[in-house]
Amino acid sequence: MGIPQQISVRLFRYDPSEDDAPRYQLFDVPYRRSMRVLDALNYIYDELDDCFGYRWFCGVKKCGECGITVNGKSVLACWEPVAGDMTCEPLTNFPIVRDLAVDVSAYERMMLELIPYVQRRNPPRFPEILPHARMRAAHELSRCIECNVCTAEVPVGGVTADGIDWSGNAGPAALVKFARFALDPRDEADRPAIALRAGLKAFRDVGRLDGICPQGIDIAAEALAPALRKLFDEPLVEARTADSSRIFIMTGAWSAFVRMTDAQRTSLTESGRMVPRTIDGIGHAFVLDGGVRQLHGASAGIARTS
Amino acid sequence: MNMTNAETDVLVIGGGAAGCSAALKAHEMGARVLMVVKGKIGRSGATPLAAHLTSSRAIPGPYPLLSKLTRAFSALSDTLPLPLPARYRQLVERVAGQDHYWLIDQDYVLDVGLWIIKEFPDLLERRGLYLLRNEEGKPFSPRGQSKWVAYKAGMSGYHFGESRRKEVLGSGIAVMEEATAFSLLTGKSGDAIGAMVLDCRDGSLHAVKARSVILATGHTNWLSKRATATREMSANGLAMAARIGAELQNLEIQWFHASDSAFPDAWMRLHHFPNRLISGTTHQAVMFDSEGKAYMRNEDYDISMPYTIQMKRLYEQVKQGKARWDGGYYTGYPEVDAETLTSLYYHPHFYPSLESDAPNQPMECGITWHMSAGGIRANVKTMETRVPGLFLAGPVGGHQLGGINLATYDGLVAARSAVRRVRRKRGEDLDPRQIKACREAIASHLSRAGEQGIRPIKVKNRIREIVWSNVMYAKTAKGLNEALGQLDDVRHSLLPRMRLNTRTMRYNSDLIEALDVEDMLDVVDMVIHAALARQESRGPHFREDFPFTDNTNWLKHVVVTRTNGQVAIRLVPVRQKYARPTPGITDYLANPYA
Repeated sequence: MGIPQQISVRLFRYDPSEDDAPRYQLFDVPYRRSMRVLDALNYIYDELDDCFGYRWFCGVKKCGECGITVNGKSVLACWEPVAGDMTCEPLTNFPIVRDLAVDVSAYERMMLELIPYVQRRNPPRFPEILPHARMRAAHELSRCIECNVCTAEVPVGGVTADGIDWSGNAGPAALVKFARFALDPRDEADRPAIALRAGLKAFRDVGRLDGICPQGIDIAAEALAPALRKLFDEPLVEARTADSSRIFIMTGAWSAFVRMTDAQRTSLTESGRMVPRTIDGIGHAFVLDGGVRQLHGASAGIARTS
Repeated sequence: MNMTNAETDVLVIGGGAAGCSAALKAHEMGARVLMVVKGKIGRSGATPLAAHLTSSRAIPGPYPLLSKLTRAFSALSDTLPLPLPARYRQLVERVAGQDHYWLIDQDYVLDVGLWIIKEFPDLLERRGLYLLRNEEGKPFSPRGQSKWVAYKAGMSGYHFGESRRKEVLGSGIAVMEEATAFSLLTGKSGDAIGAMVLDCRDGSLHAVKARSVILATGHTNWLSKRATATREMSANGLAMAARIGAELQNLEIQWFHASDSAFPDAWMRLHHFPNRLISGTTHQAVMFDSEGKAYMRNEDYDISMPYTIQMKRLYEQVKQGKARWDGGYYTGYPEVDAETLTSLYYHPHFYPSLESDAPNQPMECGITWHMSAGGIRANVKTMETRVPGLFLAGPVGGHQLGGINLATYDGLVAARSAVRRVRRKRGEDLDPRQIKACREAIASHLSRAGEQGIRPIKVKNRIREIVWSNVMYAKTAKGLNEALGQLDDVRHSLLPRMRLNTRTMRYNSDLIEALDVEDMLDVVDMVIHAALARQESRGPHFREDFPFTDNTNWLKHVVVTRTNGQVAIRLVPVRQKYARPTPGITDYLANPYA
């Protein structure tokens, strides 16, 4: 395979406490055997003397904390192999703490309201007899590590002063976690009511999740469809939302800027044509001239916030 | 720089199995609890990397009664040499002998063992964790080992931690995540009464006043070039405790993994389990040298944890030039069915991303600095350290090696003692001078940020190189002394030139790491002195210049304190109350079990 000896990394930089606008910084990283994206980021951090903000703990797809965007796709940095040219950006749909580190605390508060555990009045003493066949669906879903790579791939409900507005649209990661408990035969929580709050019935845009889960979960077939069937006896009917834009959320001014194509990104880095604009209800957005502004106009995710 | 004052009854530092257990118990007992976690609860530290959730074969009877009987038996045994029932004797021999090389309090083994057998399993599934069952509905553990798994072996710790994470976050316990406690505060009496905390996300400082402090920062740290610790683990707990006068012990009993992935770099924590597999097969991992020749079948050794034996056999390969410590040898499971392996273990599904044809084929490995049997010395009945008000939970203590079960038990004990103190003691005022010194240390780093200098990560990596060169397996006095000299160089020539890259208050990992550097230097210094002091080889502690295990003279703790930069050592005999090894001296390398 044509793996280059050198990896070119275009790294998203944005410190809400210091920067007016995001910028991209270029680094050359020597290729090492079987290199992962995280290895390249660590090389930049350790060897190229740049203290950029990024989060990771374990390096082996357990902690679920190194999700970022690479060349437009949400990935786990420890799992994803490097590409010869990589644009590394934060996960979309979450407020940016600094550079690649995002804030998932609003998501976690929302998640707790979905009762992310088995609720039962009188749990028996261990070991409860529990044939694996009955537990299989919940067991398989438990491989979700809530890395939120999938959450970053779908249009979100809207942006509020606290970050994402999750009401009625908890996003795929939360729905997977919810389904893990809804499909657990031991659970006695009022799952249909919680499902409605979480937007299980409303979430139809599953096509864009194909192959996105680093744990290989087929979110539609393993989580959404079985949960709909069990709780409402309804099938999953796929639908595509018109808006395919995703947003980076800048903390501080609570601004947002619309996702760009690679070509647009290149032109941005070369010319610095990113223009700050005021958007009602959000604060500042960083938009480009030309096509991106049109893309911005099509962004329901942002428009809904005003 | 923003600083706030916070007050709580019980401050818990650390968010793994031990910290969660302590925080939830103290909260349940009605105390105000604040958890300060450098990473994220259940997602950083050692807990998410734990492979199994282990209990043992059942002992019949109700726990409260058995527990009382055990304590009564223990008290009686202090004066009368009573024989231990066979079932308990096996427990002590395995835990004390095989896992702790006879350097553990055997009454603690009985107390924790009984709790793990009787109480730990109920706690596991209370909130819906699912321990893998067979089709008949019984927990999957085909060889009667009671090594249960949540999802797959290798991920059980993550799922346990995740379950505890949700429980803590939903409990109302005050939590600060991605915040580092970097200095313990003491009162006029010398008692531990709080900690200074730096919040990584916004750079804010917090002076936390507490009536009891529980340290639960875990048993492994990224102190060497290759290590199993997660990114943030920098021996902060050990260093902070030592600085306010706590004693540490067993620091030289440092474990290594011989079968962790050699590449890619990020996957050095990917562990190829050498121990008995839960898959029902009697086959285990096989180790291959650089020419692909099998040099060790792990199943040939009758031991549940063949980690030290792996190191002995690898040492021979390295000596013969057939392996390097960081690669050139392999671990595989050629006799284990690939599908079974993949269905029960987490690590094999990483293989297809690399250069392997099948998940049971040999993968290149290197050694890693894994957990330390050592840590802070405490009264194992109360978990209180020599510093009043400072308690510990889990393997940050020097009383045990680790494991989610033991960590959880310790958390309960520590919480009870900590809450008792809260009810008994009035709070002391924080010392403004200590707070000022902490603020100045932070301000000094920030004020020089951006100047020409060496970034903290570079200093950290230099320390890791020093440890890798001379403080790994196969130590000598010469190498250890050389490492001490190199650490001195770091202190005197690198530290004064250490500068942060940025003064941002947002996720400034340079600032956190500048604080880590001091802790790492102090702890490595203590580890080296402890390793020099133990002039024998025991378990994973291998002195090439003392290649024998001495059960006549060395059933002793090496107890370390560090005051004003000076390490002091004393040797404390370990009482072998119920079981003891054969006295005498044995050849360390020739005897695989020594």
